[in-house]
Amino acid sequence: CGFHLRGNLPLSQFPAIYVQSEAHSELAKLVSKRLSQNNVQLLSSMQADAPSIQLVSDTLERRTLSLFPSGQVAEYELIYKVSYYVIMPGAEPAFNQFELYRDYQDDPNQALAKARELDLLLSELRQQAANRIIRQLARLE
Amino acid sequence: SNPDYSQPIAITSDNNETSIKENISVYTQNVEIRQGSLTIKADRLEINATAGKGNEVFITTGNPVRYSQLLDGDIPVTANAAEIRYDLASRTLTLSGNAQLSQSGSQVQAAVIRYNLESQQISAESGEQQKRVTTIFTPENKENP
Amino acid sequence: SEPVIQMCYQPLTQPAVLKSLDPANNTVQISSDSADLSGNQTALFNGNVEIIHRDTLLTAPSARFSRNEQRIFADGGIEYFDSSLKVSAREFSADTLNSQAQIGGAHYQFIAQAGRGYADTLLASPQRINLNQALFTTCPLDDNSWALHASDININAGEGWGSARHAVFKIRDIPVLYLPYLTFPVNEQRKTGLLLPKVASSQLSGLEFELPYYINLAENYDLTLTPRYMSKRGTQLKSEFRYLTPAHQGILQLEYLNSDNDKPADLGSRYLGHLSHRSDFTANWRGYIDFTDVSDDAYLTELGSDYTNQSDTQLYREATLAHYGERVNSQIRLQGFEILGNFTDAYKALPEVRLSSARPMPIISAVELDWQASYAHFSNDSALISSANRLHLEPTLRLPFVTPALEFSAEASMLYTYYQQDSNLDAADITANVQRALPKIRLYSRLNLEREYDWFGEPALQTFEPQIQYLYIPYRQQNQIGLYDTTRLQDDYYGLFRQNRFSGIDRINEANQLTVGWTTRFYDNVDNELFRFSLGQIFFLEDPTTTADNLTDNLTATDSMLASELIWHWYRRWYFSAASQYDIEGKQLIKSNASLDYRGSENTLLQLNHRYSRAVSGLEIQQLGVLGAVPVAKNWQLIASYYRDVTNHRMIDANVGVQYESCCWAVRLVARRHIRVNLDTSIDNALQFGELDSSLSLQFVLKGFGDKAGFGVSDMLSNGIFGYRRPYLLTN
Repeated sequence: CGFHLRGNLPLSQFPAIYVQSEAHSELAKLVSKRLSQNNVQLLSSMQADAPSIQLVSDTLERRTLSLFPSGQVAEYELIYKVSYYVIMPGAEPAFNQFELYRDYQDDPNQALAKARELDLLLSELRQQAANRIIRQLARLE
Repeated sequence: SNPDYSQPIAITSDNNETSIKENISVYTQNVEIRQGSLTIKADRLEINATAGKGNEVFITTGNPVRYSQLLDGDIPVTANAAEIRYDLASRTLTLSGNAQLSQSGSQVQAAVIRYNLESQQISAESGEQQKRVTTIFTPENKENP
Repeated sequence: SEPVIQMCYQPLTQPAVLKSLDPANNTVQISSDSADLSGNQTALFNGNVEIIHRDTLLTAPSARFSRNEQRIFADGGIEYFDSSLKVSAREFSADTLNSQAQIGGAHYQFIAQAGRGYADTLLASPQRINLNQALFTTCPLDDNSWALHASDININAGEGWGSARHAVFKIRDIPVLYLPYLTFPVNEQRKTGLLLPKVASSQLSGLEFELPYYINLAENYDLTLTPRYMSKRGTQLKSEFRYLTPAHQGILQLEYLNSDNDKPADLGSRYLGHLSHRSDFTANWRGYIDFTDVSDDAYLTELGSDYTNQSDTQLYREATLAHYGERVNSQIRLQGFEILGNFTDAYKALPEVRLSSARPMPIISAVELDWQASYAHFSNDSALISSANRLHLEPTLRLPFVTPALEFSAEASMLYTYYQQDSNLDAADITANVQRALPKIRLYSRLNLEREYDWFGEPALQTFEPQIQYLYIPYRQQNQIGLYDTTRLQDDYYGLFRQNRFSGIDRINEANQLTVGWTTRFYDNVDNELFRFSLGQIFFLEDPTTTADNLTDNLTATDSMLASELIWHWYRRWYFSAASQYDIEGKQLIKSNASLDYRGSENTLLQLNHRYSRAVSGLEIQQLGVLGAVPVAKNWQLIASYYRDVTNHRMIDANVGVQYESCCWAVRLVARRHIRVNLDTSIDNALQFGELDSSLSLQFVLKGFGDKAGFGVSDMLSNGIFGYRRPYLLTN
């Protein structure tokens, strides 16, 4: 049916990339790990002949989705928003922004357990975001 | 020291023709006029002495004519223009033909510039072809970034 | 989409030379028809004079420049431009040494944004404009809808704020309000908090009037004080202190209402305190604090606040010190909650210490070792187990193999956990010391397949990504271990491939299962994800041991879950998205949500959304929502939103709003009836319906101060419960 294995990253003609972000950014660590798994070398500083990714911000917000009859919040929507620049050599920085959504039930009777669940969902959202950034890079000519 | 305009004038050039009858003398090629610290370099000089001794008019033309002088002994003034007329009696220089004059940080460009050596008065006009007068003041170097 | 009234402001005619001016060039360039200079005295210029200094331009019939004073003088019809302002006036003088212009009888207009007016004298210098005996408005030239008259207005573009003294606010030249001192935003630099005066009325607080005062304390500290008058309750003072230094940044918010007239006198003062702070002590030491406290449980629902959602049921508190090392990341964290309403108190983790490998350590050839260790002390006086210590060690050996096409990873880990549990009830039947050790094996693989397809004649991409995971965890009897930070996780498509069905490690579910799933995505020619469908299922290779554990009783013995997700961006203007979760064994729908969106031209949008959950804390939730916004006439906009609780056949949130927006002001009338959180009920008898509260709010806003000041269509729709977004403090 015409499916073929995904060829390696078109970035393969740029064997090295520079990932810039705030200190200790978890998302940057995941993106870098994904890149090195696809044998792309990680540079320690911006270089003129190599592309670079600048992670501008990743924020987590919560919106109410549904209520219990008492008016209490039954379900929330977690909104993980990522914005970053891709700078190909000799080109203007291209701005990218996307949001990922997950719904999540809060339960005041188990506040600590729900906080742990939130940490888990956040790390899963970050994995998804890292995969999506790599997927978008893979389609850059 | 007494001012330049009261100093003797020396003129050198490659060749010279003087016609006593019309009281006109013409100097051409590498003409240089000196009077104290004032020097004018030009291609051609025509001196019109019809108004008698002390009222001669020096008309120099060149591509361009270059003028320089030290005011009060140390402030340099330079100028150039297609034609510079030096009227001895009124002690005034008249520069015309994209004239340019610079003096201690200020620079004037115009079609016609009149410069009175005695009062150091400069006045510039845009003349017929409406070439605008441009003046640029550069502050003393203490503030230069 | 540009609002329809954009043609309010005719484009400002600017001399072309302005673009080429260099702010660093401190020479004074004058062009004129004639010029008279005499040595060092004042030079005279006549005949449409143009003076350029740094990035400012002055045009005048005549001008004078004094070299030794470095001052320019000009009069008659002058025009002056700098990077942000255009001024036409009678007379002008400027000191070129410190680039300050003083203009008399000045009609000024901002270049980059709306805002114009008149001033007897205007002082303009880089980044700061001072007007006295002045008028300021953002209305177009011939529109006197409103104007601010003040003896003194200061505008500092750098800070994003302006202030006015002895300000008289006039509507169509009728004085309406006198304020001795007033601050207002001048550009979009300030994003958070209330920026402009707000007038509203509601059943809860009666008539409300809020006016923010911005105080710039120092270069990186600022304070906004907002007195808020409520006819039913009294005057509350809200304060927000923000600080941003290279190492430390944060926000401290304090709200104080001395006595609430709508409450019994003995309640005393009502307050809210919120601090979110982050410090980068060194390159790898970081600390952060997120703390909120309120005087009484009903504070949030009755007085509300910018930092929490009205229906929040708990206040989150955390203080953490983290070290990011070369090989080891370590963190010590204190975590607690203030529960609002009478719910069971939550366990606090005071402290929790976590150590983990910063980077996988290569062992032999491609095998690598990761490890994590944690110690936690849980305490909860109202729980049977009032305090417990937990030590957990988890080394993992992993063999990863990742290529763009194929991803494979084999993992083997050992989980060792030791508990010390005791209770302040002496007869309590609890096990003091518990140990649990169990291995875990996980094999995971994923294939990335792609093919080109044609999207309206353009090449586009479809992907097909099958995933398969085998997970083995032996059974361990665990019901003598307390539940501290553990609850059952929700099984959506993403959860199918998780290694643990619980949020914490107090329970580790037995597993001998195979999970199969696949996702297909369609992208259009510019790589927008048009359509995504995923399907996944867990197959139990042997039936899990039946346990009488209180937490896992709702996990049916052969509970194998089929989850699917579908996102479909249907056509240019229509969007449809749906997600559902279906349990094949029980042949029942666990959860589904769908939303149909129409986004028309400017300011027109419509959404129909539906949610169903079979059991949220044991209760069925089914909710229908309709919301829309449509321009009804020139400058008039209608918005409406309606949410219905289908299970209990009643309305929970309804808004109807009409908005008139002219060039420089806008007024919005919103009638709202919504369910108010009833904190006296606990969640189990949540069936006791919350009462409905209605409110009518009239919001009058001056436009042109920076952004649309919350008047965009999406802001209007976020008026109801479901629109509010609560930001989280993400620290790494």
